[in-house]
Amino acid sequence: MSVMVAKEQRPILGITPWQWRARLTDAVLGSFSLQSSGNTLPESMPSDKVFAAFYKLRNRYPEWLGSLYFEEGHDTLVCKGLEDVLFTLGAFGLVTVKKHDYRNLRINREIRKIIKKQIEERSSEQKLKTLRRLSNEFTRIIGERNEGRHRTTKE
Amino acid sequence: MSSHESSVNVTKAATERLKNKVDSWLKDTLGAYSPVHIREDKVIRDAVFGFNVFRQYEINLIDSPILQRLRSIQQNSLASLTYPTTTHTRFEHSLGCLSIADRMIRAINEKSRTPPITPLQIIEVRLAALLHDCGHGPFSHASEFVYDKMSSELQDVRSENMEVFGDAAGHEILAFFIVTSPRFERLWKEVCSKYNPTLEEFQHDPRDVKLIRVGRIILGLPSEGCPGYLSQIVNGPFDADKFDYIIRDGYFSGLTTYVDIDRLAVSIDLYRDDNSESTLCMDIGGATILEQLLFNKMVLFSSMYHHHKVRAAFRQLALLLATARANGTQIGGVRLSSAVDYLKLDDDKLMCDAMQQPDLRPLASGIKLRRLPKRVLVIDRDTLKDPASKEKWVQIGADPWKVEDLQTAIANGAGLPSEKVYVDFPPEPRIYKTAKFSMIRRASGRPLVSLDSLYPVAGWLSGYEQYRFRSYIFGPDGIQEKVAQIAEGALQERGISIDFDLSTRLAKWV
Repeated sequence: MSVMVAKEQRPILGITPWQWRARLTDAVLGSFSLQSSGNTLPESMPSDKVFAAFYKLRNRYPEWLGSLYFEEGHDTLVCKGLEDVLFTLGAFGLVTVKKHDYRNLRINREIRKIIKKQIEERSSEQKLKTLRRLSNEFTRIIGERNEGRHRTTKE
Repeated sequence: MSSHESSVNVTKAATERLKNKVDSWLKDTLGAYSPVHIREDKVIRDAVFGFNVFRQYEINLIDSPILQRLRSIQQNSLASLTYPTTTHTRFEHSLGCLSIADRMIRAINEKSRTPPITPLQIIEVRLAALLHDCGHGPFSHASEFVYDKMSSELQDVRSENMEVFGDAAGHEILAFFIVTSPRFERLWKEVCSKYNPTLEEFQHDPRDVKLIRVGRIILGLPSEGCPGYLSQIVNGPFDADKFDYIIRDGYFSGLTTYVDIDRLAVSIDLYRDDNSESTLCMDIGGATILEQLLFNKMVLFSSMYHHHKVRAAFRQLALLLATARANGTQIGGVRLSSAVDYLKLDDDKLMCDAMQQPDLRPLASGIKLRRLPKRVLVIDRDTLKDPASKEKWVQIGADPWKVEDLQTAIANGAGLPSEKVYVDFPPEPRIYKTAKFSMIRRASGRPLVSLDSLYPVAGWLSGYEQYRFRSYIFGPDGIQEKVAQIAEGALQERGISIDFDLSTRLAKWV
């Protein structure tokens, strides 16, 4: 098993882990709800796909996802930061799993609409613009076939 | 020097600063400590794992101030205020971790005609197991919460060296810099000079140990001469650290947990793939031990780590440390401005000296006399009325300023000093790494499979997430009703509606 971090990532300094957590929570909620092309994101998504999508997006959105660190092993990825945020969203009922099958995350369209409205209310235009772009890319990656089983070839 | 090793020779500003501070601390801490010749290996009796043998040079390190200070750092912070027998320390855990690592090494070597783990590697893995927690500050994770989560010092070191430190815990980063510091290297040389390595009892000359490899094992990373599976014995999906703390915490808390540790020796093995890379794995029978490990981890979270009283004590202690830091108050002559400053303290020194400081005394005496805040409101998925409230509550939990703002609003509304109200979001349990990366040999001649493909162990996590996880608003005893009403109003002002009746009944003061 190896540890995998994209090489081109530049360090962003001066931000506490707790502040990174706030950014990551916004980024995850935004990814789930801010698609500009309507609700094309499926309600239910394999969690492996979600992890793989954020791995791909990490370098493109360092100011939001720059604290994420992925470990690779046997076709799958693990990332403590994402695991923590998804746990909290699950604990308070924003993300659900059916019959405790954590391998599929479900975030229904009604909840997504509410989250979208709230993020739009509290965010600046600049922030919204970036999060919408992130959300669109996330949606596209989730929609790609054969995505989710992580390949060991580094990008 | 290999590419593995060169990656830690960084010249980044934050990293250099931390390295220098750790070395300076170690010089002061070791002071005049001088290792003596230990005549023979020593046997130490442990309540959990029985007799364990420690080598002469390991005894020198155990006797040094680096490990002796761990005797005064409780393993579970202030859990003993709730589970009175949970008084074991990081010291016992460190010895236990070495003992389990040794069992794993022996089991792997006994399974092969040519033992894959060399005597030098055994020395290094044992040292890493022994020293893996030497970076802990007072009350373990409680101080780590303040010096790591609320400061960018260690995060900057991570950001400068993502490949090395990734998301290593704060105490792991500090342990790495302790073990790889110039002062530790000098100590190790002094220790080695006390022995004649040509004697038969030394299977390998300890002077050949590379401390950089020991440091990387602590971080769970491979090095030249130290393949990944060796690091995983100390820091991996199923490692000696987890086996020891889960079994030890269960034993000393009195919670009935059981992990069939004897099965470990029978079931652990190495799997060699087509590229001759070895992976640590379990046979199919050993999968049960890992299931027990994860199940018991969730039991400990549910009953102890997330117990409301344990959380209340944790918050009070974290506030004490944050107050000292914000006010520049010295504790034992130490100003808590860097993570390294916490290494200068242990539990006893912190509590004794905090009692002498006017700004810290109320918080310190509250902990010493177990006058802890009470649950005022319990907030979980059932008490939050609608998705909008849930989302807003999650946003508060993710943002330290929003937490502080809410605490202050409630305290002001109730006419209380701000340190009397705490909003608490307990840290998330994690089991994905063990579930997904623990490899099982299901059948001979077939590829390894992950633990979670055999049994959905992470379902225990989602069950906990859905049915057990709670956040809290704590306040002073005797005025819970008043504080609860003010808290409800403060939440409403932030767009959060709660089922007040349920929330207060769950808090059990009604």
